[in-house]
Amino acid sequence: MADELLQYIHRYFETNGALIQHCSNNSIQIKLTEALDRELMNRPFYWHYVKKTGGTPEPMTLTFFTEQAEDQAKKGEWLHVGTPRLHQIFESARNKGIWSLLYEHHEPKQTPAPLYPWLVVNVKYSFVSHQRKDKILSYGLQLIHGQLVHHMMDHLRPLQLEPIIADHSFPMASLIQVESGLLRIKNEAQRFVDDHPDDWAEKAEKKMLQELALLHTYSQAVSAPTEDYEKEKNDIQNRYQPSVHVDIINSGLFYLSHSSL
Amino acid sequence: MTAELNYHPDWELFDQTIRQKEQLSSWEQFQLAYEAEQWRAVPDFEGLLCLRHITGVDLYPHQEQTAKRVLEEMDGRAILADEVGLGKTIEAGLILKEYMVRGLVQKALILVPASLTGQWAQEMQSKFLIPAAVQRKHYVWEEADVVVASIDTAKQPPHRDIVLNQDYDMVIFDEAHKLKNPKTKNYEFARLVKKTFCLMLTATPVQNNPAELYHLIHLLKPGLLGSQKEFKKLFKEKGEQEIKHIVQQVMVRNRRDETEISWTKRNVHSVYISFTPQEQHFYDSLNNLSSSNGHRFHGFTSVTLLREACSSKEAAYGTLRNMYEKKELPEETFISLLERIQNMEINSKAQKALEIIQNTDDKVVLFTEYRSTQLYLQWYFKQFGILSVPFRGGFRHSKKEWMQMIFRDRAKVMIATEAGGEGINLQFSSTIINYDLPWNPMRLEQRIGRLHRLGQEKDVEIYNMAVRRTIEEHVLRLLYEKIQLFEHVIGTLDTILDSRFGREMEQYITETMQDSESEREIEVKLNHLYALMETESGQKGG
Repeated sequence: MADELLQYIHRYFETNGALIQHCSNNSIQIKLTEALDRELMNRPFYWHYVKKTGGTPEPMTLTFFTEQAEDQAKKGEWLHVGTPRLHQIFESARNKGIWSLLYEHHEPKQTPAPLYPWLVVNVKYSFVSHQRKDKILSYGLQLIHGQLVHHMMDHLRPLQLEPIIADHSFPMASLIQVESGLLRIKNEAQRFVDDHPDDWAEKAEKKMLQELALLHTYSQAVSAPTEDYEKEKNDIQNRYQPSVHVDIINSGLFYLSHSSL
Repeated sequence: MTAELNYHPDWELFDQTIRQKEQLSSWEQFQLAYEAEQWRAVPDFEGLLCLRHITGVDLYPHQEQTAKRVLEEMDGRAILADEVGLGKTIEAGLILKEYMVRGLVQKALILVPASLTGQWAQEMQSKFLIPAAVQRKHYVWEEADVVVASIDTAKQPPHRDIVLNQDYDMVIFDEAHKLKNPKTKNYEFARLVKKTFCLMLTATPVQNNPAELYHLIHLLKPGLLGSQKEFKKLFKEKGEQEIKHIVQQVMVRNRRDETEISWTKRNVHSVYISFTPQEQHFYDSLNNLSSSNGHRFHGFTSVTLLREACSSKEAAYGTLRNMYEKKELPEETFISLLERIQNMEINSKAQKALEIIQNTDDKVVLFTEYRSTQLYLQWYFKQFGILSVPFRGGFRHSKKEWMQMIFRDRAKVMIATEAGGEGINLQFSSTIINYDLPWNPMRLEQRIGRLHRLGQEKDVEIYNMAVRRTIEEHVLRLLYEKIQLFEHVIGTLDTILDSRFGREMEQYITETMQDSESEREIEVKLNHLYALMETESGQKGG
């Protein structure tokens, strides 16, 4: 897991323009760009000062280790899934990858080669009560004939995708607008939620009703003030009330050589 | 479907928010964003996800089980009532972390005794990577997600209104047994604070008296035990068993002998010392003070003096001087006692303690009841090239840690006047000298508990010192040796006694010592106390 994380942040920093100064099996050293420094290092005064005085900006260098440093002299941060730093990086990565417009580069059998428009939407479902579970699904919708594909990211992963279309390719026009495409995916999401087992929600609701009943009986028995009753009721509902949240992680318009998948 | 369905606004505002404002991302950035969510997602309702988020904490099976039980069976509202030394703080930290990792808790409030706020925050940070802010002068209630504060601060205006305005996802109460009484301000505050999940930590074995738990449980699950009237009726009709059954729905209590931890042994040694003739002479003349005429002090003072004389002449001198200044002691008596003190060259007990220290390679924690003795021993040991550090309950936390560090790295001996409260861990040492014995057995247990705890790898050697032909001998021989409290696995005591009983015992012993007219009477009374404790332990521990 630590290795995967190391690879992950290597890719994150590299793709965002930082200089990888050193990288081994268990450590990595990165010279930040000004933008990354401003985003991650939280030192606005430094940047304000440098700009005011016209000094040469010196972005910081970060070092990460995948194992907690036994050698205290090692300067650097421990790269671990529980650290605030990593979550800051996850958050940053999420913000940098929200919307994309990409074209597949491939070796076409004949030129000029058509590229078909696909709307890609990655969705996170959260099932929340006093417990919680998330489920991530990746959808792709072909915007000409309307084929809806699951596990879209898996289909995309082997492809070479670039921001600029290759000379020998040309994009086909969509018949389905992005907005209505999104609506179709939303309907699919709705279907997923409807079909999803809801024993967890029923269990939570049952528990909630039991506790509310106990509270109610008690409050009646001792003639508790309404505001006390309401407060406790609120606490109970906050804890058990089941809900499903459907979030879009990211989305994009992808022009692919495949008409259908 | 019973669950309420929420679509993120992005579904509606797709064009404006997503496609226009956001920069186009590269394929790599697109994948990184997707993967970041995969890392952060919660794969299942159950299980402890946080275990991969924390490392460097050695968890014991009972701690993991407790966290799982609180999360999966008690739905995050529970009393954690492990016996002392099993790591309730760790359990609470685990549970809090799990909820945070699952995104169910963002805002949390940890209410602990004022002296422990810093330590709690530090432990949450170092063990669980939970950034917790201590409420000091600067207000952090609103800006920090996790706040550690004392309930006494939090309940006072102007803090009170701010705190009661927050929606806490989780509130943790340490020392929750102090919330037994519903008429107190603390209780009212605990009730009013908005909390989704709630943990209450207590070491006092209240389980055996469910009635005491009524109000505590009421904070967790109002109505679970019915109204107080109904509860009393239920208790009468169905008895303790039924109540215990209900209580178990909200309380976890791990016992040492049920955990799979193998505890190291305690080897208890009684060390009897004989006074030199000069010392004995001084002691006897103090003993005669109470029966002689011309003094105006209370029996309690005379017992104090005798105990001090068993410790060091320095300790007794302080009290004598005080009495003299307050005119409780005639001048001629004071002067003659002073001469006796000056004639004493040897402190037999200190000599014996030195011998024990010199004969072990281990670091030694020595406990005394008196500060003058503490100072004297520091000086005395230094004459023999032995470096020692002092330790007092009154030290600030940072100083305690400092002393702990010097002791660990450089000094051979720590001389402490108090067990130092929770949080001071001395498991790198495994030898204790009880230079003076406290008369409250709970305090003796606390002393031992500083060394004999999770993490202690060696058997613990305990030396209980007492001077022959003094009140100390009675206490050690007639009471402590007999009940053999400390021979057993760590702190069997707290299952037998609660802190109230410990204080009562101390008082009983003091009264016995000051009021008894003969050795025989002391013996009878202490035997009586022993019998009482046995009954108590039979009822509670059995």
